[in-house]
Amino acid sequence: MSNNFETLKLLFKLSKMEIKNNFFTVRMMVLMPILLLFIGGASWGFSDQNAQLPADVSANTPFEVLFLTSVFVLFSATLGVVLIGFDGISRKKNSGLLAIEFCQPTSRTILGFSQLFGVWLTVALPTIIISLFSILLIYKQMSAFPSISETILFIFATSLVLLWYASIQLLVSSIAKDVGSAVTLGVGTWLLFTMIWLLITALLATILGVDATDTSNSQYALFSSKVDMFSPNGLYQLLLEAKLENISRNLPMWQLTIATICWTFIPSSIFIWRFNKLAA
Amino acid sequence: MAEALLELSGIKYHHKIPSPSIFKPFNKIQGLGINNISLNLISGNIIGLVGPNGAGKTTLMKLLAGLLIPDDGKIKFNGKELENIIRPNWTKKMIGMMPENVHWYGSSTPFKVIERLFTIRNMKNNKIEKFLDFVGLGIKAHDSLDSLSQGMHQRLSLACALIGSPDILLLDEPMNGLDPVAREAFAGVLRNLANQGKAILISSHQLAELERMVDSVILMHEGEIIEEGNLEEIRSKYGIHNDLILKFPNEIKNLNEIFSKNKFEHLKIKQYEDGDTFTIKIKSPNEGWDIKTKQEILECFMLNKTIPFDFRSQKIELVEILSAVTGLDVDKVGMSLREKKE
Repeated sequence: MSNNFETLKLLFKLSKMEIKNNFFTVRMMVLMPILLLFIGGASWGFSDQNAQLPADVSANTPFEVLFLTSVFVLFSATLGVVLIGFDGISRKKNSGLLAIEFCQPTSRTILGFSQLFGVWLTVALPTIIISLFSILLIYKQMSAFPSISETILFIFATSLVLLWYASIQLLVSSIAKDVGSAVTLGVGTWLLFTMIWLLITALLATILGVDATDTSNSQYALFSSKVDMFSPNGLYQLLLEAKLENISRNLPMWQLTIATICWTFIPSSIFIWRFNKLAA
Repeated sequence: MAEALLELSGIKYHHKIPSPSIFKPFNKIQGLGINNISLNLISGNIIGLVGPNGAGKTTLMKLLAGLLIPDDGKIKFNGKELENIIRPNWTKKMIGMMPENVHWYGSSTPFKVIERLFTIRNMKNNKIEKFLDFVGLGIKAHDSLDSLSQGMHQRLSLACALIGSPDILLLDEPMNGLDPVAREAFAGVLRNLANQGKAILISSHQLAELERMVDSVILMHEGEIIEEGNLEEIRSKYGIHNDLILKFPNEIKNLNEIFSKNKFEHLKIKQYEDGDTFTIKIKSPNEGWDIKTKQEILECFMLNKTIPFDFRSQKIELVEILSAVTGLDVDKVGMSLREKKE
């Protein structure tokens, strides 16, 4: 019992150190204004009652505004995880520091988790703080707060999507041999889920005989929601959609729960497994 | 007899090299590595691990440190054989590793680097400054890594290896980038540590820099230990002796005459221009030099009124020893590429 407590204490200390190291870097100086402008700006803009939005976009409630803001979270905060994590392992490996750390009498699992939590929380903490600040902006514009459960869902889902990205980034970083391949793999995975996923969905739909020419039909909506469960961005949106009344893609809650559990544990476990096998 | 802290017997390891093909994209083939390595690291001893590039020194160091897992062989720590392929933490506590060429860069500081390693080891952080003082980094403790010299970087790497006062120190090419003063200080630090009972394995491809520092050497070539023991013993075993070097301001025209007149015609001599001066290199006789012969050589030049401004023994390079031990030509010994071992 006390051994477990000691391990957790060590993990906490190392993660804190990792966050501190990541936080005071040029990368964070670039990322912070992006987060602030994207998340804060989006919530301010969408909650403006005078804003002219496309007809199919609804921003009538605070949570609908948060839902629309989530697109900007996906563009900025996940990119932040890429920025912080793309060379998280490869840099240490190439510099020889990883060899020194692996020689220390501490399990690689703890070192791996501290690395993961370090990358994740470096971006997640400011994102959560800015998201809470955005809720205040929404209140300023709409004179209403999202409900507590909606706020918790938004923060929870946002934190999770960043954890999934952190796992993926560190996993690809452990595969990368040099800075070039680290950038390529890091940005490549981000582009895959952020930009190319729609194309993959449409392609799969066409191959499987689902009409992809009309994205508003219910058959395609159900199909795309199933495919989205295989993408962190898609699953993040699906989680948030669960609280929206005017959007329903008829996906059972248990499927969403399983997908969330899988995304939370599978990439991180693969990363830790690989980290344990890594030759320094 | 001092105790062996670490014993290796019959250790084999081969690197796995990616060799992708269309049907086997993750295929790997067996690459170079080390074969049948047996050695003991004994408390209080400094052992030099010497060999040309690619001899397997770093691979052996990594195997000893537990960074690589051997394909075959036995490892014993304090007489206890390890059964698990993954090193238990108590063995890691015994070993301090200084890898080759750690690239220290960024805005972090030596203090933060050591602080992290102290934390990983669950050690109290209140002795970091004192610890950095020990390796001569006390005044640079809070400077950024970017602002430190190569020598300082090496000291930081050494500091990392010394954390937790391990019984065994593995130092991979620690002299790289150190100036002569720092090398001298480094040698002193190592001697002190050995006197405290630590076993030290120090690798280098430059024999001369290790010569004064180590108790014995292990010669590695093409992944195998080809000779080990005291350097003097190895030299006399293979009849390797220092050549004599004499330097003159002008060319000695009657060199052969001087030597034959004094019954030194059996010695192999070579005269060559060396910048503004002329150098005469006299190959050592098989039995080595005795003081009398050296005196007579000097005397015969003086009688000829050609006085050398420099007279000394030439240091024997690693390549010459490897050549003697392996029986390969000096030209070939450093360039031979290892064939894939089955």
